[in-house]
Amino acid sequence: MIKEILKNIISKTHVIPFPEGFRISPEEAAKGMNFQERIDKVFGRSLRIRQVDAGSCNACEWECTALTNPIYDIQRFGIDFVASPRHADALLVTGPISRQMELALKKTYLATPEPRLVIACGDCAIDGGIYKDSYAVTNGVANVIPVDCYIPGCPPTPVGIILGLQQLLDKLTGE
Amino acid sequence: MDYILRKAIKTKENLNEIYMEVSGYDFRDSCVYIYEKKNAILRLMFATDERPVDGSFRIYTVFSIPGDERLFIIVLSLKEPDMTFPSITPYIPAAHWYEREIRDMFGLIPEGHPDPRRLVLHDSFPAGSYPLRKDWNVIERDMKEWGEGKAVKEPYKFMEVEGEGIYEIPVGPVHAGIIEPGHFRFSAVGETIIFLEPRLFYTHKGTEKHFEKIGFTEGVRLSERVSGTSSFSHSAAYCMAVERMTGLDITENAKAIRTLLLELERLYNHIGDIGNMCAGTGLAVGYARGAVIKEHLMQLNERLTGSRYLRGINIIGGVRKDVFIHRDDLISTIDAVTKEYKEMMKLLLDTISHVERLENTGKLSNEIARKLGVTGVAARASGINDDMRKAHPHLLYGRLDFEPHSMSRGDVFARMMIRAEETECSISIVNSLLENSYKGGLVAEMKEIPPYSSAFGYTESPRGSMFYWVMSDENGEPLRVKLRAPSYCNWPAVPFAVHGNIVPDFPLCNKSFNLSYSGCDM
Amino acid sequence: MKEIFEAIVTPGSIDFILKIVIIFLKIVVVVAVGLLHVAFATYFERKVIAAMQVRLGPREVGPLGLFQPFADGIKLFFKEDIIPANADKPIFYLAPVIFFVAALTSLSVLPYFDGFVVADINVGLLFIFAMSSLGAYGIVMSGWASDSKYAFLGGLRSASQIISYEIAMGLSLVGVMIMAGSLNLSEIVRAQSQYPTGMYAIPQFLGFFVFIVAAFAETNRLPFDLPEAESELVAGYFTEYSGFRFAMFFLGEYTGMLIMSSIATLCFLGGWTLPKFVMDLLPFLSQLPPFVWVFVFLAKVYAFMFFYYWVRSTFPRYRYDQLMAIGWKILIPLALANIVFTGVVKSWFKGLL
Repeated sequence: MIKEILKNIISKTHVIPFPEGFRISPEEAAKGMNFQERIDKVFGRSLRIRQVDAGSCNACEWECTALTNPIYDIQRFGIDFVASPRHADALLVTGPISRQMELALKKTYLATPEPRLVIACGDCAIDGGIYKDSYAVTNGVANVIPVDCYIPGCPPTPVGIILGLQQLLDKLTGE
Repeated sequence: MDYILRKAIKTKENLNEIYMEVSGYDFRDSCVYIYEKKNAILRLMFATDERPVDGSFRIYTVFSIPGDERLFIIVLSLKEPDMTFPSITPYIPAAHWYEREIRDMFGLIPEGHPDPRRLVLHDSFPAGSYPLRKDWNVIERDMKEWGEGKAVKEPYKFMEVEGEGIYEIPVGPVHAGIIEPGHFRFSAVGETIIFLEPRLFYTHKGTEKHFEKIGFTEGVRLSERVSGTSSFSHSAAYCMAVERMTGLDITENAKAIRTLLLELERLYNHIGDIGNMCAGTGLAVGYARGAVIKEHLMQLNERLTGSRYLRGINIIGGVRKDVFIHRDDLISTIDAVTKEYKEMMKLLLDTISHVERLENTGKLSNEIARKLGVTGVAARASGINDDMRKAHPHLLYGRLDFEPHSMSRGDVFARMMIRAEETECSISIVNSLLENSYKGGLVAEMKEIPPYSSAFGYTESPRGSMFYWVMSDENGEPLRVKLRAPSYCNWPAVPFAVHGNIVPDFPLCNKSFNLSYSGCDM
Repeated sequence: MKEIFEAIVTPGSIDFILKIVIIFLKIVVVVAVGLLHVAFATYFERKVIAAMQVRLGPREVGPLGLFQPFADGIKLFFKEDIIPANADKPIFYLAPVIFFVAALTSLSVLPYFDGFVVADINVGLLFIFAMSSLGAYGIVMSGWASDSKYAFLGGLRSASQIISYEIAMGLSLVGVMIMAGSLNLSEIVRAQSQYPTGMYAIPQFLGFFVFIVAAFAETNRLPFDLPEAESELVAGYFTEYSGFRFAMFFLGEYTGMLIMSSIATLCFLGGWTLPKFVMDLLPFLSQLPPFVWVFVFLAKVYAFMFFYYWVRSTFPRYRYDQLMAIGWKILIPLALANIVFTGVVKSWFKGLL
């Protein structure tokens, strides 16, 4: 164990590189991933997200968890996932909103202090996805709480989620 | 089996499924006979609304006998107005949730069931309304009230523990961290858990009814989205069910691809789970390493099939893409992963404080596991040597040479080591599959779906045994699709595993089972 | 009028007012520098932990990500202030304040270099113990006032952990007190500079070890952070706090870390001085102005903070019963043995040491 730690400290800081063929649009590649400059106007370069699962199949959850692993590492942009909605600035909601989770989602939304954002992540959160019009589903987050941003995909890849957050911040800073 | 066959009104055999229809109290006697005398495992129990066929409801109870490759199904038919059937829960505890679900969804009352509370539908769902019946229609106002959760139609009473110093702690449904929703009610004295009652089905999406609406072909896509991390196992089991229903045998090449991808899914799940358990004990180094290895495997999945979760590759009749053309990529990635994985395991097992927290925590005894019909890793860690790949060989598993592992300790450490051993087993299966080449194309010609026919599909997903049962109506559309994910069997065992542990150990026990809430809730 | 004026403004009273102004300035400097340190402590923690997990950590906000803590702090300042409906309001407001103030007050008795102490009292160490006990009050009050079961449990767990390890911490420092002969922190450092090895850590290694473990437990840091660990059923006693009150808990925790590091430096690592044999080797060092020695002090404090982060990213968490067992059954006997041994040796070699 000690060897591992020393190896990580002594050797030059290296980041596990993004994979080959990593899908990023040419415009983004030209700009570079510098959307951290836009996380400033509202949140002062610090975004704390509370993830709420409202009936998803858990693929979107694992993609959100993958965002915190050493390869994608969203912490370097100043974004973090938090445990309590009271410490959060944004809610990232996944799932088609099963009816039995409606009340819990509303309460979580009300427990988040303003200013707050809601991000609907995944096809199910947009309009119900494959579960559209099932009896136990409310067909998307917008039918329960107001939404600020939609990230499509089933599930959206970690890169897709990062790009979606980037577009949200573009919208907030008026670009 | 003659005992049952003598009582049977009707029998049917289809491939390895043997249906035996009995009546009245013979139902309970037959089930108890096969469970006790033949040491059978209760796999599945469900009801169907076959009133369009012959005016009756039917209840199917599926057993499998160790050492026998066949599935034994005992059928009971009920006609209105008599909507009750003898409950088998007092003799076979594993049936408890199945019978409650039948009651919630069909309105068939199990007589003698010790727990009269609702299971699937929460308090504000209208009373007397049974969603899976054929004549049930959506009433908007009822559904709205259901979502709002204010009007309580049938209250759910949690079991109360009385005593001095008992403190009731409710947790959920929204949990700390990125995890699915579920409610847990602990009764604790100080820090020790005396009793835990989980209440799930918050992510109930009405999947089974939705299958009936969208048809068999689209159903493959829906089956993948029941539980994200076992997408491929779900779609493999579903496609197997529909293929068996039409009597179709897929090509050897397709079987090999399905086997290979099932093992890849098992790999990324197990390694991810071992890394997650380090998050439960606070070992940040182990967690980060496990996450990196899992990410490499998910990226391999994407290169092979275009989807990180292996979605969109199964279709009824075979597979869509030939994975074997990426042979070199597979071999090199699996070699790299094997090396990293071995380093990670060495790190974890050398960290004594981590291992100390895992040992003797969350012990699930063999007796309770057997009685509750626990399946998968949790069962094998408690001494039940049951693996669908060996018990009911399907795809190419009959040809491969491997042994399922089991340990008798039943604690968190055992579940981690079972996952470690299965990882190494999967790696060797993948390597041996890559050595050969297989005949046939990717897809076999689809035959027409005969009316009123049914079949089972099953496989061993990373969490345990998985079953699908499909039945077609007179137009070749789905009449009933029943799915049972392994998490459904294992959730009732979690309270028994955490009994006697301290409350902060609960997340660690939960992570060691790693059950899917969505798979359970359907 | 003139008589009153002459009675008040005597030479002695001008001295007095001057003294107060100087103390006030010292307080401002200490608090400002302390808070700045705390802000960057959060940044360095994330970078160090990221490095140990083969990641980069915050790097985009400002050059090298240095403005991240300010970004976090400013954001928290502007958040809506939510108070749970059934919370006990006066206690809810008071709890983070008590916690933070207790931590900050301990800063006043720490000498940063020869002659710079806000309050040079003869019972410095005792004062610090008293303040850390007050911190436990803040935690229990926050847990109680939040009217939430998790917060309450988290508060109780945290408080009982702090109380258990306070004893071990105090006892481990008694060895140092015996060797230095005083409770005054500046005296302890001066005694160390006269000692052959220059730091009390070498003869008092047992005391040092006990102090390190107790320091981790006192500040609720891994491997003893069970009450507030994220995966253990919500965030612990500060679940219901949002905005600036949450920031106060956060700041209080890091200030506590700073204080523990400072005490370790002052009592065991020689404070702002270098060992005697080094001073003899390089005589020009004694010509340096006293202010320069603050950097030696800071270097030692940062080394100890790095050690905090290193342990955090390496070890898994202890379970609650293991934690209590270590505090009561292992550390206290060890600290007591250390005291006995120190006392025996000191009275045996009365003149030599």
